Amino acid sequence: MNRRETMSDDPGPDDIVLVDTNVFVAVGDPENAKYQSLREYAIRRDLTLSVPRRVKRELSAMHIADRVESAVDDGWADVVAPPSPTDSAAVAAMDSVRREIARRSPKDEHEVEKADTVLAGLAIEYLKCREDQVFVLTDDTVAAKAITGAVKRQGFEDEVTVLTRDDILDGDDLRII
Amino acid sequence: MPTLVERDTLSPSGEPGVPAIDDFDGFLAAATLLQQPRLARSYVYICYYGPTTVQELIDTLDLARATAYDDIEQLESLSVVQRDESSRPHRLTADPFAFVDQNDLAITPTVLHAVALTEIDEDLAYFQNRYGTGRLTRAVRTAGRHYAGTITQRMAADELDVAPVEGMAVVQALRPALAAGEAFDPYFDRLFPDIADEIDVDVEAATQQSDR
Repeated sequence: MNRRETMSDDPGPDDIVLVDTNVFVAVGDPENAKYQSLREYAIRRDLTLSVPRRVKRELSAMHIADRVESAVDDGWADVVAPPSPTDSAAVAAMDSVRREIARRSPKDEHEVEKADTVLAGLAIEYLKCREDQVFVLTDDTVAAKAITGAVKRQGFEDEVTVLTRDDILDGDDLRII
Repeated sequence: MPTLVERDTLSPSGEPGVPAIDDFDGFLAAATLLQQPRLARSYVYICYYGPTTVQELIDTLDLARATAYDDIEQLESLSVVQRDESSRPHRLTADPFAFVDQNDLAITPTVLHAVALTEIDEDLAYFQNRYGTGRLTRAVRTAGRHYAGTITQRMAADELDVAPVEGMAVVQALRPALAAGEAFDPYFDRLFPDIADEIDVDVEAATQQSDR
């Protein structure tokens, strides 16, 4: 077993860090201070963020896919084309996320967006191929809670860590009015 | 003002479903603010952080002096801002008001704040430009449900009938309006029946922002 002795809450160069669309929405354009914070976060830890192709496609609807392109050119992100999760634990995790989100909302399970569940499945799928730790980075606290619960129920709470805005951006210099 | 009108209450004649807007001038003032984000911004600032002065408004909101005086004059003529001329400098105050029903009508300081933010936030300016003020005001209630923990940002986008990324952007950009509304809007719980106490945007709005 070549898995590291202690798993960290902080990603390292060997870890997969899956990033959701809302993170690139939250950080703004490349010249924005929050974007620079994300860049520093990745570079300081020698990370290459894994950006699913779907994320880039979603960003293009608001003409902000250049936020990903700029990170790729800069060497701290890669666009990846992951297959749909097929591993049984991965599929079970996605079902679990769907049920959890539906339970908290007035919606039915089938109304839960597949894209909100897929990161949990991908994280476990990645674990099956590699012995590394997998991180999921999202700005959506509702999805984050559901993913955290789902991977825990599937027994992967030590290998899959969900990070949100507070974990990567120190302070939020937000103009109130 | 302040005015709170429930459209779903019975009219004086007892007929159900008849709009009962008993403060029509107030309603027109609210409509004017919804259509003029810069005016809305000054109104909300005075309402939340007043009493204040024109100079403070100029400094904090980065307004040109002539613009600020024109806007205050217009806000006074709409009867939403009062100027106390007995003090030097004149003190400005604004009372909160609301028009709310259980359906689509929802105008409170929080909603006016959302419109005001189109002046300084690119994502909200984009959203309003593309989908209009009506959809932006709907987005306030939708965003509240996200921060109350009941829907994801993607579900918010679906509810608003916009692209996922547009829903994420509007939900995130409305955080200042929700944070300040929670702190200062007395009608916040009317805007978010049942969930007002659950909303957590993790933003400090209790002190006014200093100038940039």
